Amino acid sequence: MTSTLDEIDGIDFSTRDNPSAAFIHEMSRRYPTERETDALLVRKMQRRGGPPYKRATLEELSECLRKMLAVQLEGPFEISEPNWFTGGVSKIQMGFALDWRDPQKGRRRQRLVVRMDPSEGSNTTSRQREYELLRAFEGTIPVPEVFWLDADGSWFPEPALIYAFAPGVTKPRMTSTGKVSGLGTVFGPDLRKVLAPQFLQHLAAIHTFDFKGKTLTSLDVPTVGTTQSALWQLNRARRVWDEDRGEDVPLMEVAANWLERNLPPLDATSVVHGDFRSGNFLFDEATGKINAWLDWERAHLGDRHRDLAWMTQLAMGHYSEDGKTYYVCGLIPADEFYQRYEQASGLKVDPDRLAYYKILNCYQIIGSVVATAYRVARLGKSHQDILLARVKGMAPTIYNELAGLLRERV
Amino acid sequence: MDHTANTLRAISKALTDVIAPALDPKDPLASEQLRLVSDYVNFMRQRLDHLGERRRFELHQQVQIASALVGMMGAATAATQKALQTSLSEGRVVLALPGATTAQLTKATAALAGAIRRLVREAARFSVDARRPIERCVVDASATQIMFERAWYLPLGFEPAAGEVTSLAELLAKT
Repeated sequence: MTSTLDEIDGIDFSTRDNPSAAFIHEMSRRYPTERETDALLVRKMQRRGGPPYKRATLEELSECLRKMLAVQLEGPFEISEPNWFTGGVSKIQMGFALDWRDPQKGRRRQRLVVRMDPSEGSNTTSRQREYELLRAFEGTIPVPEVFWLDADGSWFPEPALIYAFAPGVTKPRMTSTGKVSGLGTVFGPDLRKVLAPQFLQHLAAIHTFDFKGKTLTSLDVPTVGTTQSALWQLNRARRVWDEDRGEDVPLMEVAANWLERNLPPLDATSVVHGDFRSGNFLFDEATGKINAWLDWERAHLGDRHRDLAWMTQLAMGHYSEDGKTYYVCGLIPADEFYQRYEQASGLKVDPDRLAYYKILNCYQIIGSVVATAYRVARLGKSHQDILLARVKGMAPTIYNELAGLLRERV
Repeated sequence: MDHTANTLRAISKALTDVIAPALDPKDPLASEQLRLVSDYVNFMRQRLDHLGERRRFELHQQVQIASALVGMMGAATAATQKALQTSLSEGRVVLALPGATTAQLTKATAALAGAIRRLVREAARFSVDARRPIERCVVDASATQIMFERAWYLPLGFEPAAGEVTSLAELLAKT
């Protein structure tokens, strides 16, 4: 029989396919993080030994939807035109039309989207949190109007939320760039000119958002002046690495050591979007107007430098054709980016905190593409196993970036 | 004679010529996943002949790192020192076996990587002077492994600086 210590610290990673209760408890104890995140990771591990994900049909999901809406809505309603959306790696998305009576706006026919977890995905995140943040930001920046939440999978096979379909594109229709989730999209000079100011304005609005008084029950508030915020994020990433991986990578251990030694104190608490970049906003191609910011699943309260380090990672943007200018998220020249952000937000950019979060982001991405993607595909837990198996190919470029950042510091 | 490469070519042709046109156009996920499958089958065809060399290369790398770390682990617990020494000895034996099986190579590599992980985790509690050489050794030694991985996965198209990547053949020739 494998002891808990062997299960965690040994090299038989197959035990993580069906972890013991002691293993799950030890992960939670060893890596304390936000309460919502802790609960989600415990749930993930408790369910891991269950069957592989079985793809639901449009009819099956429509039936789940019908049952949910029968409880949520007063009066008759009609669901029609169900269809699959692609593009989402971590969530299953079904579009549909709903004819219903809105208590505030009367009879409506709307295009809506069901956004549901697979059995286990590339990110273990909270639909409750996504729902609360979409609600909180309505009227502040463009977000899809959110309607209903199935937080614990009472009606759907897994937790899900339902929001309005937002029109627009994530990249120009004529570009061949941005194939992987919109990373490295080339917008071109005309769109850059229109999109860049909105991008910065929306980012500033998120980071300066007054969240007090908003219903954000699924987010914990870290204490300013302490390292709690950074530690929560580091512990989350380390826990995912320990729970999911199928191999050891000594470089990751060096990174974890360095990150633990260099936790930066929080100077101000911001809403951190968590995945603010090209590919995660929809815009009108004719006018360049941003219609919606999507994918709030990694949002939390914490250090704005996490977002800044994320969107300035090399893979998120691209170089100009002459190789002289690097455009952050394909929109803003790198040498202008931080200054323009400071002007837009009134918040300072600290190079040391930025460097810290660049290293943490590399660690987290490697955790996703090497550890989580491996485990999910191995156990057949998602609708995108083939895509997750393939993203291992992204790891070497992130390892390279991580090693470069560590080489200057250890 | 092994016909795997030939079979992979046939799989790729079946996916493209027969299965793709038969897909439901209302199921975009099916089309997207078929493209990914086809893409990966083609990638496998390119790497098939090197799979054995890859295993050997990985073990060689772990042996190199462990050999350097053995002289730096004075502050480690006796159990960690023993784990590294034992896995290094076994790794060297397997590496020297011309007919080492994939299972032997994989097992020896995993044992070494696990022992190194254990040392680096312990090193977090060492003095700066004891810890720093260990961490620097791992970071410096990772460069060769990373370049190999960049070369290996180059056909998948994720590499932003393809021009800097050494060819796989050149890297394999060094082991």
